[in-house]
Amino acid sequence: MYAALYLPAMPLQAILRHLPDKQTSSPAVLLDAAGFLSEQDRGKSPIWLRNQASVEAGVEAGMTASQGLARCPQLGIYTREPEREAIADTILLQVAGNLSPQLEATSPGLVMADLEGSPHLRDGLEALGQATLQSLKTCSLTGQFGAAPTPDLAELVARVATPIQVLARNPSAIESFLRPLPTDILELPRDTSAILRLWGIHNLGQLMDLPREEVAERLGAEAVAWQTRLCTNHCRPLRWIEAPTTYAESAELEYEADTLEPILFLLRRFLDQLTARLETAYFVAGKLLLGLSFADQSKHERHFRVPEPTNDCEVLFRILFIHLETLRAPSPVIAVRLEAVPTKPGRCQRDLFTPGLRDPNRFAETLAQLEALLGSDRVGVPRLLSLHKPDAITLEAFHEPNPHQSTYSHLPPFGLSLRRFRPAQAVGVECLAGQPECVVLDGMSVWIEECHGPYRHSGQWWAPPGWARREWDIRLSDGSLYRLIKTQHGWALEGEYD
Amino acid sequence: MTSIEPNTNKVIDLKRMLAEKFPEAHRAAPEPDAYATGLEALDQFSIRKGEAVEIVAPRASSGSALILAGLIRHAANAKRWTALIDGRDSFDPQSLGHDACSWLLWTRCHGTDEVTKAADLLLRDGNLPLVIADLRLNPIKEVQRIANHVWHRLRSLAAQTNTVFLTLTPRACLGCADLRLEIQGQFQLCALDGLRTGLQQKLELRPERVRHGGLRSNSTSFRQSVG
Repeated sequence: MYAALYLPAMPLQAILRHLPDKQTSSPAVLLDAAGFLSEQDRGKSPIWLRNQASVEAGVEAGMTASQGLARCPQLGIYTREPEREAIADTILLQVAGNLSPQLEATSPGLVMADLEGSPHLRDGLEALGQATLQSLKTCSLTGQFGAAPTPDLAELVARVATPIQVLARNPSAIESFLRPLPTDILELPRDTSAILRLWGIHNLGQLMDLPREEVAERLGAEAVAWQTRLCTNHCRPLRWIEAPTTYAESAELEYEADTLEPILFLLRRFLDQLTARLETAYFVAGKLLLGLSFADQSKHERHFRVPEPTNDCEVLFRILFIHLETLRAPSPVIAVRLEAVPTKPGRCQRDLFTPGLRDPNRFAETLAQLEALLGSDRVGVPRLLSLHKPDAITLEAFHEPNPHQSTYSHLPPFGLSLRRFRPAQAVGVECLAGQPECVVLDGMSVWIEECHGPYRHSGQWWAPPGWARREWDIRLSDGSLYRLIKTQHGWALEGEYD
Repeated sequence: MTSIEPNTNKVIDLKRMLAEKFPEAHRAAPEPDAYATGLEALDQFSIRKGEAVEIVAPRASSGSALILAGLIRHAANAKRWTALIDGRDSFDPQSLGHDACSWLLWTRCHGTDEVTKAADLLLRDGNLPLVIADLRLNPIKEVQRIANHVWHRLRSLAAQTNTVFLTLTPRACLGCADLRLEIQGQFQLCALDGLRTGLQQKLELRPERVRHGGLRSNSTSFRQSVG
């Protein structure tokens, strides 16, 4: 058995699914033109696709937009957006991917799945169709589901289904189903349709009754292929395609956005759509990739790791919101793109003896807020660099260390900790016989009571300028302990032992 | 005395009235768990989760960084996260070693304003059991300029999220601290060659203030002051 998933008026649906719910149910039509049209051109352009509300309002395909507006003043008129059509096709493939891994993208808005050996068949094709259409509905798309013994028949069934139709392996039932269908359903070339109408051929039954040789002689080999499509025993191989694993939504703004609100509104809708799509494939969002295009042609891209992968829109939205709140844009935003990297939901049990974070997602938000407050270079986990140089450290982004890794040092820690002055505090020093005797701090001389050193350190001599220094541990007359250093820049207090 | 008594009664009546009107706000909090710091000098005062602890280090080289290192190391050994809000960007990870640093979230601040904001965020978050604000090297005037209501807010956040909020200050300034300890004495230069565990045992902490009333340690030298 084969299943076909069909999106009627897909280019129009691809646009409407991004609109608020109220607007999706109001009359809307699509013109057969892409991009921005002037008011005059828009009025003259013919209507190509209509939604149910516009059909009920009396708007017909082929009318100009002005005529359509005359019949229905609330009519929403849209032009084609290939990017959104591609996204709708991707969604269709991803939803169909739940039916079977053997898929074919037959044409825009139509996907075929080979159900041979599919475990879903146990629940019945009707139930399968309902579940599939429900998945499409969560992604704000309305589809039709058809199942039949051959791919071509499944396609025909899906096109006329309301919204689910299953054709069993019964030649007489199939024939009785096909016979009354109009020939337009085959989407024949216009001149061929005209010839068939002249012959008085209006439905598939009449077409099937025509002798093949005679048809081939008059209409060519293509006409025979159309007849073959209607045979119950003709099963063409599918051109297999893998269901895409990219979950992205994007939009070019009609107007340049110079405030945060419209961007946030759009991102919220994107997240709603993306999480719905992820849920249909039993995934959760592990990462978010945000892309903004600005009017000055510059771009901003940012990756966000979701610490505890989730499909909770609130959590994902807060991650984006905290970042955007502190973002300084060079010019207004003209396009927004959001991609969710799918991952399997975490099912591992937490370590009983390792107290991890209570709420990793909340903590990620806090970290983002801290980074916004202090800068990303001032928040993180310190890591010592493998260098001999003093203060050779770096800050790494927060990550949970392996709890099973030993944290015990091989060497016991020695001495007092250093409170490092960043930068080192320059001082004047008076020496006697090469040893510091007195430190001049803020114009005041303080006697050094005790002094250990000098300890010589140097490094990276192979990569000029390198570094070299002498260190003394000193105790001043007030009892405080300091590390005094002498470098090529002079004397300085590097820190306080505390 | 006669003029004070009616006022006292009024306050008691007012408290009772408020308790009746807002019972949730006056419900007795459950006894919080103790937080083991791994430092004998601190553990004798049995610090509890949700408390604000102030450690005052009025003299240089008295061992406040030693306490800091001990707290971070012990938490790392127990595989617990610690947040260090470094008021003067003076923390030296090299003194601590790589292993202990792997469980440390270091926020490098430049001033008390950033410290209070960072503390607010981390305490409100409540994911980390220990948040340390190190103001030891910040100028005393700057530290004392932090308004009391800010400390109160931080303390109340710590209590709400069951987080230990520990501050290291050069002078006593946390009016609402549950426990205030002052470090006594100073280390000598020879301490630089000693084992750190030995140095930590030499730490001498004098309790200056304790809330909840009563002694919480077995130490006979522990004394309670009004604060």
